Amino acid sequence: MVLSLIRFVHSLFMSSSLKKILFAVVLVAAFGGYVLYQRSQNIPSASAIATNNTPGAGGSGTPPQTEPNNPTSGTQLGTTTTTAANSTETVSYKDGEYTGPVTNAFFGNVQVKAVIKNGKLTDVVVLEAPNDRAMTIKITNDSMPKLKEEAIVAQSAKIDIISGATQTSEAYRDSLAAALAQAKV
Amino acid sequence: MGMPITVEVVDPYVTQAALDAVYDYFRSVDERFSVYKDTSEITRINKGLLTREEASTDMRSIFRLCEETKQLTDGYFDIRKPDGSLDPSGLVKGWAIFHAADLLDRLGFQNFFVDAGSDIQVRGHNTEDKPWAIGIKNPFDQTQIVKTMYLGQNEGVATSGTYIRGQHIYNPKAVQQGPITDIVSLTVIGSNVYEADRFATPAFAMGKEGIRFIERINGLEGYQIDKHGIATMTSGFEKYISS
Repeated sequence: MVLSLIRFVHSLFMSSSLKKILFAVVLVAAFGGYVLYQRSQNIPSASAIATNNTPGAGGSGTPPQTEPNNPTSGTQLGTTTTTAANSTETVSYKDGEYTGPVTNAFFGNVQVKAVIKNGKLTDVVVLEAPNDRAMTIKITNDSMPKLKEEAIVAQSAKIDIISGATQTSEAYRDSLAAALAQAKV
Repeated sequence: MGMPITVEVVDPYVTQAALDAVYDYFRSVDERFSVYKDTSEITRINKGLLTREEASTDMRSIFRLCEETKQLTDGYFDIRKPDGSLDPSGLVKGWAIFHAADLLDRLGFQNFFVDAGSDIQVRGHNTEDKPWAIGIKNPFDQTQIVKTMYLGQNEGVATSGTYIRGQHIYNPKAVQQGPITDIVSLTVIGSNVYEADRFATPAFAMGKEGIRFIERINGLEGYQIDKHGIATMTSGFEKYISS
């Protein structure tokens, strides 16, 4: 298993596709680093720098030439926009209460209301839940046909994956246990 | 969390970078949601160092989904433990696997599985171009398989079980009755691993009636094994047992 993984990694290094991937990663990292640097100089930022004024940005390899303090035409001064690359914490909401649609959730309907205060989600209220209709989990024997039963028997079919209870955190306390990644080419 | 992760991608254009992205994602989920980490966000909330309003977007999403699941299961799903702390891992696991599979999907992969603590999301087909063959472990002899399921429609599978030493599942509405013992394993197949996983534990907490709960839900099938080694399956389960 380890041998085939080593062979796989070795064959990756020999292939030109890896070189292309590495080049693309370096490119994106350099570009991303430049964008982050620009944003750090600009609080609040006037517009998404990366989207403007960059001729053929994808393949050129050089950072955009825009001056951070001179927004290009078409952008509004004083508005704050967020770039997709960054964290979800930069998204904000308008204050108020918003009720979602009644949603079918297998067992009945669910409807929730989101409460926004100071631009952040502060509460979720469940307006309608299946139990409102007195549809409970107590299921009597005469309400459904008898389900099929069988004695379990060891099987020898060829399988790809096993599902069953596993050891949890006591046994694997330090982050994730060594994972086995198989990529069959 | 803290469990083994296995990712297998069949598509020949898979890269180490793609696999690394999946593991990095699981690592970040663990950093946020593991109740065994002193610095995780959930631990800080449980210690009162962080309020739920101050929590991250992901954490608040999870709380919302847990509340919804609690309503749907009439309280059999409950992230509040007997000691009063919150542990959302019963939902986070399936949610995280689902998002990891989505990550691979967005990278263009079509045939793979993601397995975390033996809850599994499959996509496409296996290396022989056939549905993924998943074996259910024998609760009484973990070297054996007692049932094989064939999944070829991007389903998810989750198994709740209590046959690992030290693991117990309680009915959160009747903790004083002690752990569930009349059944030892419940495997749920859903349209995706998030749905399968979030219903597997509360169904188990219902004991022998759990399989009937799964039967009542459209889109879920189940295979339950009781303490005597008798299995009960939902009426639609048999469609998964022939390849």
